[in-house]
Amino acid sequence: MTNTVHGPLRYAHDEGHTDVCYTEDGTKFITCGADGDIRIWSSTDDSEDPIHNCIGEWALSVRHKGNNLYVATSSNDIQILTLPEGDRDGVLDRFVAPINHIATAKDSKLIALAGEDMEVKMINLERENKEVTIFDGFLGPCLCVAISPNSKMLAASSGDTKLRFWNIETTEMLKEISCFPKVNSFSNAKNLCRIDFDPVKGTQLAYPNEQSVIILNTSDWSTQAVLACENVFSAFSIVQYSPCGKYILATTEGGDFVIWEVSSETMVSCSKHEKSIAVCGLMWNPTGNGEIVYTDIEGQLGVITGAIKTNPQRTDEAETISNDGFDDAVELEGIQFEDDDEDNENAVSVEKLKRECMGSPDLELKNLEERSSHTLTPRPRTPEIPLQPPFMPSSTPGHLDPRYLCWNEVGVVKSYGRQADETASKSIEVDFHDATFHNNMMLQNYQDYTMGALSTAALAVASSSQIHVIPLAASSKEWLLKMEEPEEIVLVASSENLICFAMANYIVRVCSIFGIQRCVVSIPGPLVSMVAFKNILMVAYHAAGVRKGDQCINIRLMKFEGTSVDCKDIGSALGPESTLMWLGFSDVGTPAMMDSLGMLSLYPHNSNTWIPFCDTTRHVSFYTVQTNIAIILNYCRHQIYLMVFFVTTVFETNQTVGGIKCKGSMYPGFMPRPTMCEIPLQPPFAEAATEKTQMEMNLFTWSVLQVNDTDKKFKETALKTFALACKNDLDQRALEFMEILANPQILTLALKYASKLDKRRLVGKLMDIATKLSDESEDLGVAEISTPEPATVKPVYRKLSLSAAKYSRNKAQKTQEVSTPVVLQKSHVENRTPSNTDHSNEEAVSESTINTQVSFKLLVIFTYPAHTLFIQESLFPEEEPKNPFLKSLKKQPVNTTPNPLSLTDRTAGVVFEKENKKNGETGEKRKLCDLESTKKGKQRKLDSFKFTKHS
Amino acid sequence: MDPDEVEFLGEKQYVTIIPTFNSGVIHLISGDVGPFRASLPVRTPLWMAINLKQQQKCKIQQPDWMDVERLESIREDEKLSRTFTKMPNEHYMVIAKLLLGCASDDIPRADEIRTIIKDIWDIRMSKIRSSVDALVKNAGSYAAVDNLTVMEINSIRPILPHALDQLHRIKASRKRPGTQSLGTTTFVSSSNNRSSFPSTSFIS
Repeated sequence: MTNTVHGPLRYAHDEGHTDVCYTEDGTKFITCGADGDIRIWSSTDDSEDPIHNCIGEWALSVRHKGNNLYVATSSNDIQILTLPEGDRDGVLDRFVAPINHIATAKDSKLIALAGEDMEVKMINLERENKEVTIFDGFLGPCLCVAISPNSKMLAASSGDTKLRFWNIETTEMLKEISCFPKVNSFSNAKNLCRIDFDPVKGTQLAYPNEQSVIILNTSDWSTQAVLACENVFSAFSIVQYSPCGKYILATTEGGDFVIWEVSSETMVSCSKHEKSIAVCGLMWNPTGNGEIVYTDIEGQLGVITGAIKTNPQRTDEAETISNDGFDDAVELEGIQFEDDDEDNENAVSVEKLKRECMGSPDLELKNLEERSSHTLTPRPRTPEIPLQPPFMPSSTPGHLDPRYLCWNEVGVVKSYGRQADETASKSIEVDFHDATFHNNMMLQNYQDYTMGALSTAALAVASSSQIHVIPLAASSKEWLLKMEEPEEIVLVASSENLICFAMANYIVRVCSIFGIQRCVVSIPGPLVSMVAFKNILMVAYHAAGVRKGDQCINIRLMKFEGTSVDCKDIGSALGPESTLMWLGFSDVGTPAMMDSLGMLSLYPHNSNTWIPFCDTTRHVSFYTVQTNIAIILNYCRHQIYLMVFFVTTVFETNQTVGGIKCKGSMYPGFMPRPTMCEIPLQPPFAEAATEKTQMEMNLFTWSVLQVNDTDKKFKETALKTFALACKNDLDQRALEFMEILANPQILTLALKYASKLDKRRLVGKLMDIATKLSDESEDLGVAEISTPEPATVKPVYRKLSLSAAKYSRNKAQKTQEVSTPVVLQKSHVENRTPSNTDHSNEEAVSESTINTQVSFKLLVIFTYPAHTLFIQESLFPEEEPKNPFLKSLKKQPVNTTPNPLSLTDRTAGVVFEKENKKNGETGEKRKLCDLESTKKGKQRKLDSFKFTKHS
Repeated sequence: MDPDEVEFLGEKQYVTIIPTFNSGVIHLISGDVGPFRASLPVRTPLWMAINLKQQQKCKIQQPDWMDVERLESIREDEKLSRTFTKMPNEHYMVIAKLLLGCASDDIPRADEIRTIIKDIWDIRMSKIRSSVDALVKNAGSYAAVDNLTVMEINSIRPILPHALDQLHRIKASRKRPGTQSLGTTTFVSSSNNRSSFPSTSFIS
C-alpha cells in the first residue's frame, strides 16, 4: 500500500467548474475556471504566484498540445494561448454552443471537442485548413471525449446516457453502450462521465459506472474488469489511467480518490478530499512520477504525491527489504529515511530546511512517510542563489502600482500605471520636499520609463532603451538619448553635476546636466546599484559569483572632475547572506549603504573603511512578515520577525538617518501618504542601553563623522566618561581614555576634576600625558609639514582634529597667561614678543594644529630659562603646559594684574594677546572680528614662523 | 471667558507638522520651534501649524487620538458611562475644529472624525445639562467636574452661576420675609454667595 499524500489546497479560481491539465513535459500545470481566467502554475507553493490571463467569462476545459494551450471559453470558441506566457494567440474555431471537454491524441495532432450542441468535433492541428470532422448522433449534450492513443478510435460520453465509439478514419459509429445517468446540460451534470483509453495499447477504455469503474476491451466490447471499492458510496465521475497505464485513478462525486492497479485489479490507494466535495478536473503528471493534480468544484487546486510506486528499481528494493523480514513498518521507514538522507548529503533542499525549521512532528511524520514511499518528486536540488539583480536605491519594485521610482533628500518621484498594462494611463509625478525649491512636476509616461533619479539639478527618467533628462533650472531644455538596439539601460543616477546611466553590458555613461556626454567607464562586473553626488559616482557591482549565499558586491567610487577621471574601490559591508538594499551618499558626501539585514554602514573618507552606523531594525517595532518576504533574508525560516526601515537619506550633519518605517511590508505604501522619520546614527556598540556605552558611541560617532556642533557636546561627554571612570575607581580606564583622546583641553578639565576628587596618582599620570602630548605634538607638527596630504577621492577635513586644535590653542593662551605672573619670566616674554608680534595674531586664531603645536614648543623654549633661574620652583615651570592645574591644585593666590586664573575664560588669552600687540583697550569684540577675518591664509605663514622659532 | 479665549489657550497645544520648506530655529518666548527641514516632522504650536497650513507651507499630521477607531471607542465609553470620561486631549474640541477646518485634506476620513467628535461633544453637553438640571432640582450644594474640558465648562458658565445666584436670592427672600427692601436682599444674597460653593466650584 502506498501512502497517498494530499498537498494543501490552494485557491485557484472562483467556485464552479474548474479544469486542470499538465503541460506535456510535466513541469507546469494549467488551470481554468468559472472566473474566466487561466493560470499557469509551476508549483502549488504559496510563495509563487501563477501567471494568469483572463480569456472570457468562464472557461470549461484546458489542454496543452505542442506549443499552445487550447481553452474552451464562454464565447463558444477554442482559444489558443501561448506557453509559458499565457498570451492569446488566436482562436482555433468558433461554434454555436460551449465546448464541454477537450481531448488530445497522444501520438497525433488530433484534438477532439465535446460540444454542448450534441456533437463531437475533431480537428487535425497539422492541417492548414483546420477542417472540422463532426461525429454526431447524440441525443443529449456531449460531456466527455477521449481519443485512443493510436488515434484510431474516438469515444464520447453524453447526457443521453450513452457511451459511443467511432472509427476516426471512417467516422463510422462502432458501438453504443448505455451506462451513464441522464442529464440535459453539462452545467447540470453532477457526474462528469469522464472516460479514458488505456494510454499504452489503446485497447481498453475505462468508464465510470455508478460505484464502480468498468474496463472495457474495445476490440471485442467485452468487460475486462469491474473495479470497485468497498469504502466508496458515491458514484464515480472521473476515470483516468496513469501515464504508464498500470494504474487507474477514479474520483467520485463525494471527493473519494481511488487508485487501482490494472493488472491485478487490486486497490492501491484510497483517500478522500478534505472537504468531501466533487473533483471536476484531474490529471496525472505525464512524466510518470505519480503526481496528480486536481481541482474541485470550489475552484481549489490540490496535488497528490506518492500515490503510486513509479520507480521500478526503487520498488524492487523496497520489496526486497520488506521481504528480508522487517515486519515493523516504522523501522523500515526509518532505514529508508537514513538511506535517503545519505544520498542527499550535500544537497540542501528547501523542503528539508523548512521541515527542520518548522519542526512539527505531525508534518515530519508525514514527510517521513512521503520519503519512504519512494514516489517522491525528483531528487532535491541545491537551491541556486542568484546574483542580486540591479535596483535603483530608494525605489520600490516594478510589480507595484503605483510605485516610487526614487525617494531622496530632494523629493519623491512616483510612477502611476503599470508597464505591462497597455491601456492604463501612465504618468510620473515629482514632489519636491521643499516647495520653495521647485514646483511639483507631472509628466505623461508614454515611453514606459521605469527608472528615475532626482537631484537638485535635474530629473532623469529612463526606460531600457532611452534616457530623458529634465534640468530643473530650465525645464524647457530637456534632452533625450536613445540607445541602439542591443544596448539596454539598467540604472540611472543624477547629481548636482552628473547624469549617469549604466548599461546592461557593464558600461556606465556619464553626461553633464545639460547633456554633454562627458565620459564612459567600464565596470568590472554586473551592476547592482548606482548613485551620484556632486562629481562623484558610486557604483555597486558583483565582483564575483555568490559565495555560500554571500553576494560578493564591491563598491567603486569614481570622480569626474573637469575632464579627468579618478577611481577608487571601497569594498562593501554586506552582512552574511544578505543583499544590498540601499546605496547612497550622506548630505556631506560620505558613501553609505544598507544591507538586507538592516545595517546601515558609512564609509568616512578619512577612516577608509566601512563602519556600521545604524542597525535600523532596532528602531522599528516588530512586525510579523510571512515567508515570501523573509525569503530574501533567510530562505529557510518559515516565519521571521522582520522590521523594515526604508532608507531615503542619511543626514550626517544631524547624526540621523531619514526614512520610512514600513508596517508589515518591505516597501512604503501610497495611501495614506507615508511620513518620513529619523532614527539616530548609533554604531552598534555592545550593551547599547547603558549610559557608558551611549557616551562611548557618541564620542566615536562625533570623532568619525562630520556632525554639526559637536565641540561642546564632545567635551562634555568626554568629561562625563572620564568622571564615570573616576567615580567607579577605574583610574586606569580614565587614564587610558585621556591617552586615547589626547586632547589638551579635555585633559586640562580632566586634571581639574581628578584633583578635586583628590586622586593624586591619577593627577600625576595625567600630567605625564600632558607633557608627552606637548612633546609629541611638536614632533608631529614637523612631520606633518613634510608629509603631503594623502590623496583621497574626496578630500575631507576632520572636524574633530579641528576642534582639538582650537582647544590646544586656547590652552596655549592660557599657559601663556599663566606664565606672566612669574616675575623673571616676564623678561623672556618680553624677549619673545618681538619675534612673536608679527604672528601673534595668526597664532591666536590659527585653525591648524601645527600652529598651536608650534606655540607649545615656543612656550617650552621660552620657559626653560625661567626654569633655570627659578630653581626653587623648578617643578612648576618645567611642567609649564600644566601650570594652571598645579596652581589650582595648590590654590596659590594669584594677584596678577591682567588675568584671573579662570580656565574657561576665553577672553583672558585675548587680553594677553592684545597686550602683546599693544593694541590698547580697543575691545575684544573688534579683535575677535579681526580674528575671523584673518582666518584664511594663516597656514602659509607657519613655515616662516617655525623658522624663527628654530633660529 | 468666551470661546475665543479658550481657543486661544488651546492653540498652545503642540501638533506635528511636515514642513515643505527649510528654515532655522524660530526663537519664541514660549520656547524654540524648529529647525524646519522639508518633509521631516517637527512639533510646533497649533497656531503656528494653522498659519503655515494656510500658507500651504506644511502638512499637518493628525494627533494620534484623532483616529476613527479610537474616537469611536471613546464615544462608546462616553455613552455607557454615567460620569464624564477622560478625553484624549484637554482641548480636543478646539484642536479638532481647527484641524478639520483648515487641514481636512491632511486627515484621512475627516468627515467621519468630524461626526464622531460632534457626537462626543453632544453626549457630553447633554450630560452637563442633565446634571445641572439635577443639581438645581435637588438643590445640591456641589458638583464634581472631573474630566470636563475647559471648553465644556466654559459653555455652561455664563448661565449656571447666574441661575444659582437667582435661586439663592429667591431662597433668601423666602427665608427672611421681614426684609422687603430689594437692596437688602441683594446684599444678603451676595454676602451669602461668597460662602456658598456650588457655583464657584463649578467655575473652577
